[in-house]
Amino acid sequence: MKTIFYGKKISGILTLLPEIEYTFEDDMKYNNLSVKQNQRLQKTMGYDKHRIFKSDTFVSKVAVFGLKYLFEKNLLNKDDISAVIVATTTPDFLMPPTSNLIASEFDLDNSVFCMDTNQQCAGFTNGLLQTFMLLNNDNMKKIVLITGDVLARDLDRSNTNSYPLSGDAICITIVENCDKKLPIYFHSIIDAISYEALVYPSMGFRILTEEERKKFSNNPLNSIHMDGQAVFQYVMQNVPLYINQTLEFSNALKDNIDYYLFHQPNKFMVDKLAEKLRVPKEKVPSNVVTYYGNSNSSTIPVCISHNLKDKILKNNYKCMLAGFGAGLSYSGIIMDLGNFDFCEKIITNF
Amino acid sequence: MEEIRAILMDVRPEYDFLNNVDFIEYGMLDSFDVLTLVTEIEEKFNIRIDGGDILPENFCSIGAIENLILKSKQNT
Repeated sequence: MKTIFYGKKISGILTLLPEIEYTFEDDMKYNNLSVKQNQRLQKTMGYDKHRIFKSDTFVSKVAVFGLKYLFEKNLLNKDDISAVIVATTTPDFLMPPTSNLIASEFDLDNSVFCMDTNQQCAGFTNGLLQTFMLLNNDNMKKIVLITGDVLARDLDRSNTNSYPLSGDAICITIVENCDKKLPIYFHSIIDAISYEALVYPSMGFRILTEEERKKFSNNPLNSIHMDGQAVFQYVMQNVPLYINQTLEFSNALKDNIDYYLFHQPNKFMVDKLAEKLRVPKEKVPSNVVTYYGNSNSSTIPVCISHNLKDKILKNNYKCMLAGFGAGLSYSGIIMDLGNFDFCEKIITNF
Repeated sequence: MEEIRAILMDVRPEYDFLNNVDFIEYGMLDSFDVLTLVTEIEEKFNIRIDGGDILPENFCSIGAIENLILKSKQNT
């Protein structure tokens, strides 16, 4: 799918981080690798530290805290909220949507549209698609897009394949209409035939067949099954092709993009993707997993908060955002980002 | 060849990588070992290995790794 929007902007991002931070040295004590093997793992994957929410944390709790912060700082007016979109893999309940729970906390007007979406790695970019479509209605003021999960708290600390790279973060992104009618290019590809490479069967209502149990049996059913090789090759072979297609769609030259703000599965993969695209690494931040872990639908706003925090308040950049992964799916956006009203990170008590 | 074997044994010292077996199929190297090897080989030989070449078949034997290094040298 390809489409163009006009006259919309991201006006602020708030990143809400867990209080608990583990270093890689902390995690090493739980796995069976030798010191040398751990050092190699750390060097290859760029691990340093990551943050995990406490076990009693849930998405709406963090989101409500963040919204209260924005209200108190006069960075957002409750009456300006026209919609709440939550892109998460860990909703508070299966019913009602977490966005409804958030709306109820603030007694938002019943005209406010609420919707949850489950898009994992492409949660931010597909979440933005939802906001842009809603903002095509002139009576919409500000859309609150909330991304992130409380997934990492339940992971096995001895699992070196998943634990060191996992992290939690909830981000609140404010999107609204603006006078500048600059185009925003959105491009999405869904390779559903390859869905088996990333499956989280737990909590679903589908009863697995014997074949599916065998396929996903490397890990307990309450954890994520990943065919690492298939996912890696998807990112190395398909994603560069799709990124080039998105650039072509927007008539943008690679050199004219100031920043490539990609979903961050891990540092190694993002660096290799930058090499494959032949774009300077300075334009492709790859440090989110190093400092925070892979927070799924939040990695792109975390990347912006960490790497562009001060610059993006006063400057404007032509950026490419790309989410890719579970589905398997890709969604890319080319848009201007800048002159934010706020771009902050808070370490919470959660 | 000895340089490659030395890197392999450094990554997985429990194997001598002398047997004529598929290192991946035989379980001597897992996916993270392959990524570690990429990093070590890139540093040792001052090359860049294309992400699309990080495939099991390019790390299944010392010969396969040698071919990959040659290819990467040409492309770097």
